[in-house]
Amino acid sequence: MRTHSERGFELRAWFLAALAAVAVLPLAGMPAVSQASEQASSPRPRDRKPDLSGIWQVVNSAHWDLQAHPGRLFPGLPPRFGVSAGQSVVEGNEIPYQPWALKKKQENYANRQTADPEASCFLPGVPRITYMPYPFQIFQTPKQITIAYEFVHAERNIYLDSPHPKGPLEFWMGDSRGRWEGETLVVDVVYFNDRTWFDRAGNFHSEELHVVERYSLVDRDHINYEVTIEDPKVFTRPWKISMPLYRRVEPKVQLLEFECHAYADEG
Amino acid sequence: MRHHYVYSTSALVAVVGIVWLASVPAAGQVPTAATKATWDPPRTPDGQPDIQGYWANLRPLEGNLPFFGYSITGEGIEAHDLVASGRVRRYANMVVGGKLPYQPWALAKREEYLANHNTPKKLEYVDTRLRCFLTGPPRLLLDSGSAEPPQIFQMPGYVLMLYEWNHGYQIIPLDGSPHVEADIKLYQGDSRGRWEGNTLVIDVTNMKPGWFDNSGNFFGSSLHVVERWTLVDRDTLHYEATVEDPTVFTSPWRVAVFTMTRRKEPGYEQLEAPCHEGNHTIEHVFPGSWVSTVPR
Repeated sequence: MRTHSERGFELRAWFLAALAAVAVLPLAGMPAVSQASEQASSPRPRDRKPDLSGIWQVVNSAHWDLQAHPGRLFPGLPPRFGVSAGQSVVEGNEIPYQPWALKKKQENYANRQTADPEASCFLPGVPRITYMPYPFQIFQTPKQITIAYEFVHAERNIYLDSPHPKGPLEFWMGDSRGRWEGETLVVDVVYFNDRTWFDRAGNFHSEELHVVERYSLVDRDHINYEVTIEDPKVFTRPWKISMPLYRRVEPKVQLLEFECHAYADEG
Repeated sequence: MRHHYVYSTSALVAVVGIVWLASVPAAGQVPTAATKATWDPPRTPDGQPDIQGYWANLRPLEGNLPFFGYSITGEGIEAHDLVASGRVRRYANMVVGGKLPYQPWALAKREEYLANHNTPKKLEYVDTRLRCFLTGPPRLLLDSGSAEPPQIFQMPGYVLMLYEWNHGYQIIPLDGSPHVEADIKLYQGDSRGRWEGNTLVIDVTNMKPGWFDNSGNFFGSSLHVVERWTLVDRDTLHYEATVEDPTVFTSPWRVAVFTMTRRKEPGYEQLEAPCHEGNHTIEHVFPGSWVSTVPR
């Protein structure tokens, strides 16, 4: 165990090292394809950026499987709690696994009932947290955007004024650094562990995962969410997913809780 | 006798599972909100007194304190063997008056929790914080936040408090809307805030029954907490709270003033401090039980 002051020194040393190294990771240069339309009439905060704040949720079945899939049973669940059919959110419907990784994905699929980290109520990583079937709330300020998620009270702090710290580091939710490219919030996420999946179908990554998210406000109530995923240990090339985020427009809507592990222990 | 407080994390840097609990300034030793009510603080663009940023705890820190045996009233844990061995000191009282006004049945219940605290035979004797359940106000500040008070964010219509421990967050709408329906019970409760001068007043209801500390001081299904966060000068925040639960206590009681000071280290950030993901407490306390079969 370490004392509080030791931890403070550790943090300070950490950031001095980060500053000294000026460790800006190369950012995957995927062009933004969906700028906010001319008609977007969203309110503008003082820093004149699109205002993404609010409660959002995805409406699709990507949490079951990113790729195109029919409705089907899920092992261990009664039919009414089975897998809803879904069209692909993956560009071209192909996840470009290396041969060994494709085998691993198939193993994951076979063991998905227990091998999925979601079955253990773990933090789900990025981008999976976005398309879990629970709402999340974006809090936007000029220097930091924080996203609070209902699922296991996951939370991400996206810093807009600083580079990634010097690694190696591993976090369940990665380290998020953002910037505005015109009307699009671009979030670069690195420093993942290798324990999260992308969906309930066994799609996975290594600790070399590099995620670039693009949040583009299309109109007041819709964000186009586009993600580039690369991981040289697992995939042969970067690949992309995209989907809309829908604003929860109920007048009284607010985040509640889904405390997965607590419910398990409550019995 | 076993003492397992295995709290781990996969993050290389985040330090989880150490709670630093030390003395709190007694009420009255610090300026009260009233004496400082007249100063005009810096304000956010929407006019709120600006309490944004990272905060630190002024309480003296005493090194590596395991968090067994922590009582918000500073009493009742003398028999704990860690205390007896000198490995843990008694903690200072955090409650005005030093005692919680339990109803007779509730006092008996608390004593039952205390008696079983050291060698729990049932899950209900185990502090839920050891299972990584969020603890809600006021405990989230008084123990999790005593090591690491929240980062505070302000936006039009909201105050957001972010805790490093267990990535807990408290969302506080300022829009005057009513609480969610009474049937919705939450580990973090349901918060609504308003500004009274330089004091952010947060009304918290809808809490799931739980504990105020890890030695069995508890609340029931009607907890109502009113937190008061006062910016007494640019770099100093005072926290006070009033607590009531007519199902457990005979009268409301107050949490003594807790002082926080603004952090100024350049580049300071909170880190990911996961809890459940590496938590094996229950397997150790209840080896082989159904709880320990939950995959981790």
